[in-house]
Amino acid sequence: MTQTQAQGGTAVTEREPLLEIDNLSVTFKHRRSQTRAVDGVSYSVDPGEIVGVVGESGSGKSVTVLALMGLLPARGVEVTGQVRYKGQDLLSMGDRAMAKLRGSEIAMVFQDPISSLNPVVPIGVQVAEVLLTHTKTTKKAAMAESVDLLRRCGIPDPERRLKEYPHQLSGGMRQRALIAMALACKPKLLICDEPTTALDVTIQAQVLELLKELVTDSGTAMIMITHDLGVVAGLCDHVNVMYSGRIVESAPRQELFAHPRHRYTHGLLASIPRLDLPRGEPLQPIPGTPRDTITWSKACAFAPRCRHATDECVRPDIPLEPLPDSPPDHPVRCVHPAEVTHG
Amino acid sequence: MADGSEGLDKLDQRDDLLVVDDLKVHFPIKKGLVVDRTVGHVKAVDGVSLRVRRGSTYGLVGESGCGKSTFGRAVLRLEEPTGGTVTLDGVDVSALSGEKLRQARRRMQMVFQDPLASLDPRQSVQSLMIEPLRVHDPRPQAELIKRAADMLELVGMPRSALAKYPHEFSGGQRQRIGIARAMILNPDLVIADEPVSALDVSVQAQVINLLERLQKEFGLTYVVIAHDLAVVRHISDRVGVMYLGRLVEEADADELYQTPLHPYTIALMSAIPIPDPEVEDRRERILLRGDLPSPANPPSGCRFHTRCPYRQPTLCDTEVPELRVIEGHPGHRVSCHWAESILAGRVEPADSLVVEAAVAE
Repeated sequence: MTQTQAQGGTAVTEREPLLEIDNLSVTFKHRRSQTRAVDGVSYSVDPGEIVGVVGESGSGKSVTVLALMGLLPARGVEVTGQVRYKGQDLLSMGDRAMAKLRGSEIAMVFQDPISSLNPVVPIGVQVAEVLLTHTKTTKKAAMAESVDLLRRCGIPDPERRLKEYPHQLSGGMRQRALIAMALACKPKLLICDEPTTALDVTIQAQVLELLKELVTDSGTAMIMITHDLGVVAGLCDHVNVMYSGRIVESAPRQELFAHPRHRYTHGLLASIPRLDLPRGEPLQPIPGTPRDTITWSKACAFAPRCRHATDECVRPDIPLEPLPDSPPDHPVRCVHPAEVTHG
Repeated sequence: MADGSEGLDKLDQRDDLLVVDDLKVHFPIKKGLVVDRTVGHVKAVDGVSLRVRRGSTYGLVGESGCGKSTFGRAVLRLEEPTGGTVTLDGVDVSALSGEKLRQARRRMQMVFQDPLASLDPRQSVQSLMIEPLRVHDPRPQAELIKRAADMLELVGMPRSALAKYPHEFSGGQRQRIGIARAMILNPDLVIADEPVSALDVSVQAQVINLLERLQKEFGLTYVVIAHDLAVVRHISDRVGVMYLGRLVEEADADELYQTPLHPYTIALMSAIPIPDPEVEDRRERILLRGDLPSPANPPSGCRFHTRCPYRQPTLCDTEVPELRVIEGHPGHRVSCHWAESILAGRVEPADSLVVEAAVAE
């Protein structure tokens, strides 16, 4: 890490990270109005590490990865900052070089498999297409490997499924097919954007188990984007919590769930009913909605919804930094952080 | 009463607001261009019986396609039941028609999942709120508007919202409007179909608390239909679990979560992620194989046997299990041949489907 970190990064490791997002900002411009969806986000992913990004709709968690994958439209969107993958800057990379990297080195699984798959092409051809594009192989060999991939992703009777179209598969099967496509070229980094949100819980459990298995077996690093703190708790090594375009808290998962410090994370954990705790306690909701926000350049964006907000919260660019009583790998962007609870 | 509910009859002659008996909703599958031949039926709801005590909350859980929403709609007669009866406060709603049905509808209202889809985008909130009153309340317009404004304040919205349109609000606020609209006729029964699942996590608790507060204030009876077990457990007094059109297990909320007996309930509960790494690492997870079978052609015997981790070589694929009360667990109904054996630990899930805890104790 030689670059100066303007916003305070999350990486403090000595190892060379696989992916480094450094002060990434994304601004959408429409006529005279501007919307800053991502506002100086920095985090890094080590090889084999599973990094969770948690946030509500509009927090910028998805836009961050769309920007680094070069999947945002060029017009009307301004992307600044740096994204280094194995040392090379992805944002300044040409379209063709990026296309080569996408699918082979970095792959992505989206939330809604039906809109990510081509409805008029059989599943098998779509999986084989990835292999044919990125590796030197014959059509026959690619099809054979597709069968193997689909089987590994838990699709029963893959020889028959290969010939079927997306609409003939169930939601869980489609998501498996999408995962098979993403893993076809053994990527070093897998980005999953709400991969189980559209699925039923029992199917979600199957898919998460599959992802966990595949990632551990192949040593693939993963960015897991989700709104579900439960998914993160069981899967990720490190968690970044985003609110209104910025990371507000970042910590290893044990630390984050044991000692949530930012008032947003803290409030979120107190507001969801839990299956394993005695019932009857009323929930402690966070007031307001994610829309009630201020820009970070003026004050803490969460302040309008925060029960602990004071005048001190109204100051520009509150830094993301470790607190005196928190470990160095647990930076928090909060003026009045929650107390450390013991026990 | 028909099958399944004898156990409850014996319990006590309780004050039940809603009694559903052997409710069926079968959708015909049609084929042919000129002559509409019916080639089969999708049995979305296939013989569900349950009772909801006045002033309590009944939670109905299940995955997509299990028929839980169709059940809710059939109770309100938004969907015409194929068979069975729905009794609201002693009145057989399923036999009503015309003016009598219209009057009965005032007493039962629905809160929908997606308020943006259920509120007409071209009507102002005032017009939306007054609409149900115009149908059921003969008072002059000015009084109706006042009532609408009071109702909005009750759900935590400013009176000024009356002049606005649905798109001007956030998801949580829209759901509040949807709830206010359902409550404005002073109903006895409110059926809420996935009331929070379209909302942001931080907003869900607000709506859950609002529903609870209104229930306390007005003595409402709820049927809450949802796929999120944690939410259902939080607000329900009694919970029913549906699978492929049938009720497979029913018990008081605490009992069900402490002692789930049906293999489907056990698997469903083990699949819910819990936001605590300590718990997650120590949990054993039971995975289900495959997907939900087609409700047009449900498996023989127990409908769950194709995916059941506890499946036994006999009975499961041949005999349809009855929904019966388990000895020693009053009020706990299960439809599984092997419930007692599972409870006693004599029948265990197939090893291949159990994901061991990440940390051994």
